[in-house]
Amino acid sequence: MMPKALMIIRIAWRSIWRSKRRTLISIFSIVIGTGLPTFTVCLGWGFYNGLIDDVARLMAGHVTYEHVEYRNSPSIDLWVDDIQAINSALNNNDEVLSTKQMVLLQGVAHTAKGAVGVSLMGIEPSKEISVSFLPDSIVSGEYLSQGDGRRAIIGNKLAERLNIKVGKKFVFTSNDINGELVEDLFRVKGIFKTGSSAFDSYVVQSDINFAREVVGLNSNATSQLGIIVKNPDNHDKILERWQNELASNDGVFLSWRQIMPDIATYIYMDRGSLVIIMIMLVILVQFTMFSTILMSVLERKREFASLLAIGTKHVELNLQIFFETLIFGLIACPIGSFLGVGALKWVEGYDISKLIEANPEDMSIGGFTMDPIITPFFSAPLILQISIIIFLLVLILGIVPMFLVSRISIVDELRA
Amino acid sequence: MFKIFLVNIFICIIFLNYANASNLDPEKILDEVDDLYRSNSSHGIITLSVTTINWKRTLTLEQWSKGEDNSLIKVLKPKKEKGLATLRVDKNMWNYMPKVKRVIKIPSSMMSSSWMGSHFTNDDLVKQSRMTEDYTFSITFEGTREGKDIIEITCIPNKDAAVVWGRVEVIVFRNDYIPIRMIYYDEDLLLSRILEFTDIKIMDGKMIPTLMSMIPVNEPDESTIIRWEKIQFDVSIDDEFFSLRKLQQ
Amino acid sequence: MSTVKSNEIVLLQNIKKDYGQGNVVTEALRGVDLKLVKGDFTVMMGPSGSGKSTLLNIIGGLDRATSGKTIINGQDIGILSNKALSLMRLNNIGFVFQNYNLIPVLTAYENAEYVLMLQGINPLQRREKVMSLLQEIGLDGLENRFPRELSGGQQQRVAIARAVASDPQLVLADEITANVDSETAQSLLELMVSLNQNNKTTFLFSTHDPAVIKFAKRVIILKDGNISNEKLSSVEIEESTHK
Repeated sequence: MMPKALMIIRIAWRSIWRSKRRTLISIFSIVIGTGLPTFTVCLGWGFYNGLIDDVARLMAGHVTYEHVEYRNSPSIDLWVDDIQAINSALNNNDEVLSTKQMVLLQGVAHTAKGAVGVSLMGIEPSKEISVSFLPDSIVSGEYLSQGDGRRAIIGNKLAERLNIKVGKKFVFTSNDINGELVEDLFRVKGIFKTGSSAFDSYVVQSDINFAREVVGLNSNATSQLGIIVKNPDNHDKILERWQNELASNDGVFLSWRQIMPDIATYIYMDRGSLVIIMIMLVILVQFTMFSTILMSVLERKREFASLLAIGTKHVELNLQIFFETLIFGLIACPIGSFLGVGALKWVEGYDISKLIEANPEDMSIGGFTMDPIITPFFSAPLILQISIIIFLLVLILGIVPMFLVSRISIVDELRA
Repeated sequence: MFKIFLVNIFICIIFLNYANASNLDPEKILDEVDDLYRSNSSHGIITLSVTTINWKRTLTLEQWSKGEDNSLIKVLKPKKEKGLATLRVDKNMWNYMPKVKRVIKIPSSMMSSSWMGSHFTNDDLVKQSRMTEDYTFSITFEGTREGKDIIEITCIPNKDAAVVWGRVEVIVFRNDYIPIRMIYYDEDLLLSRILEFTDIKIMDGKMIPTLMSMIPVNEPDESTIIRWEKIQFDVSIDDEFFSLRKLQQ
Repeated sequence: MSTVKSNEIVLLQNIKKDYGQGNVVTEALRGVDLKLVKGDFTVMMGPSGSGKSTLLNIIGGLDRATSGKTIINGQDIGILSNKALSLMRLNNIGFVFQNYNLIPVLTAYENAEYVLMLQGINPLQRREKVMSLLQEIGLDGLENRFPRELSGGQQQRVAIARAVASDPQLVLADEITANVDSETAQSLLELMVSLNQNNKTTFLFSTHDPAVIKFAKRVIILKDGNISNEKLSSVEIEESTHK
């Protein structure tokens, strides 16, 4: 069997190179068919991952530890205790980049101009500075530092609606942990602009210790513990382990997907449409490939007929066609991946907003702006996956020519 | 609304009581107002007229209060809204909707919503009177202005007090301390809103302004007007009166 | 089953072949009976459309008769599956075509080796066989050339080598001298005669070329889909070949 297979491979290999032009067209179409999806998907995934990472760092991390009931009713009377123990355990974990404690208060901010519903995030300023992009989004005044007390930062849209500037005051009304109404004065230390109108018109940040004071939480309790992991791709697995090892009775570890389902849905849908466009594109490109393979087989019908006449089996001919497409795939798919990655390297770091002159708010997903700097997602498994999918598609395309060969009439072909 | 309303009433009452005390330390006066108010109760009928750019409406309300922390307001007219009631006990507020026979506790997120469509918010009704805690008072004018003999008390919020205003001026008649107007300034000391007290009448033996008009400065065509139709002071009301059960009756 | 003499390579009984469907049916063969025995060197002549190619295709298992029995080497191939037919062709039949039909991507050597490889012969035996064969047909030194680098006559020699390499019972040669000059045709025929004599390979030719006849041990004339006469005058041969 082996020499036979080797000979079939030899025939296939030589047949491919007999018609160089056709072969180059086939290989070119597969290269494009592999390179283009690699480029687009890695680019798209890069944007999504950047977005997820940004939002995770801004909000409650890739993984969030919170009260089991908090999702259903995010109120201040559902906090998690013993946070320091879990926190230090997580910070000694190799997979964790950082953790951030947060106290989240829903309430109303008032000024003489009016009152606006807001969410007050009590945060650890030093943690946010190392983790979140918000400290870099301050457009006026300064970001928070530890012990800032009544000083808070607010979004530019909220500042507009409340008609306040840096140094001015507003009153924040909320409920404390016993459900009693509490009121406190805050002064604007800084105004931020993320580009997300939802965030910029709704969020107030202050030092976590003061936020705890406002609602009467002790220093061992938070609404959420946000965990920034080193590799967000496998946060689901880590999450499960932590749930078993670390979580207390009423605490639960959740994925950013559960914390921010709207963003997850948006990304899922956006990603879905990208994939659909890709599939259509790949089909178009594969069609070129398909027609060249088909042509090459149809042109050689007589050759196949004579091979059959001298005793070649159909299965052996099919094997030859299979090897031909296999060789196409083996040559073209790696080149395609390589070129796709090369193109990604080439555009990496480019500021896309220059290209389309878009308002950053036009590029938002789920209310969060995408980073306009191109940061492709270079993932070997992803690139390999695309390459393999295209490769398999090419092999599947080889089936039709095989079918045609099986229908060749030896007598008719040889008579011609 | 109700709180400001009450605060203003109490300011009036203090001034009535202390008019001849020749003690013009405003802080001390207001301290005693608070003390005085806590032992008080009242029962009255109010007409509330709200004018906005888009609509105008008038409600007739019946109100009861006891001390600083309990109050109950029920809508008498118009018929469509009859029975609609708001109960406040301490810092909690409930609305009763007779149409759906439901009691709704007003959450903190709703506190900034308008109370019955007026220029007062739910929060305005709930806010405790903490004048002496939150402000520093001083008499900034004493004498004749616009033909009236008045005293102007300027209230400056204390540092860190949960007050949105930059300054509040209270102007009263010098002889009987009946309020004329309260002027609210924002933090930049720009005029924000004005509460006018007019139609001074004697009710249940006390001389009080029976008409209060609230005009937001940035929307001069809008206003909320409160008219005291009837009021009795020091009526006896049980604490049980201010209950969810009563709210629904 | 009828007893078959072991030297009977081909036995055709009342072979009929119709082409087309419905009202327009062409009868290509109208009841051919033919027997070829081992060592035959038979030339089949006849005008175009007389059914020569059809008969060769049926004997070679490339086509099936509409009716009648086709017994090759004692086996009724009319009842074989396509797969079994192709195995039969591989092991029993050698084909030489008018257009050579060599595998263009294989060298002369590889073309001759191809069938041996399909048969699973081991490399050493293959090499020995092919090299001696190439020498025998006068192609030694050209074994690494591709078909396009060879003349028509050389290609046809390779095709003959391929056909006889596996020592088939029967070699079918369809108009194999049509595309070469008479000198080349002469040498090709001499080659096959020597193969017939040395290896006892049975040959069945179809041809228009009267030059072929002088090499024939036996001549068959096919006319209107039937074998008209097995004994022919040279005049008749002239007629049949120049129609």
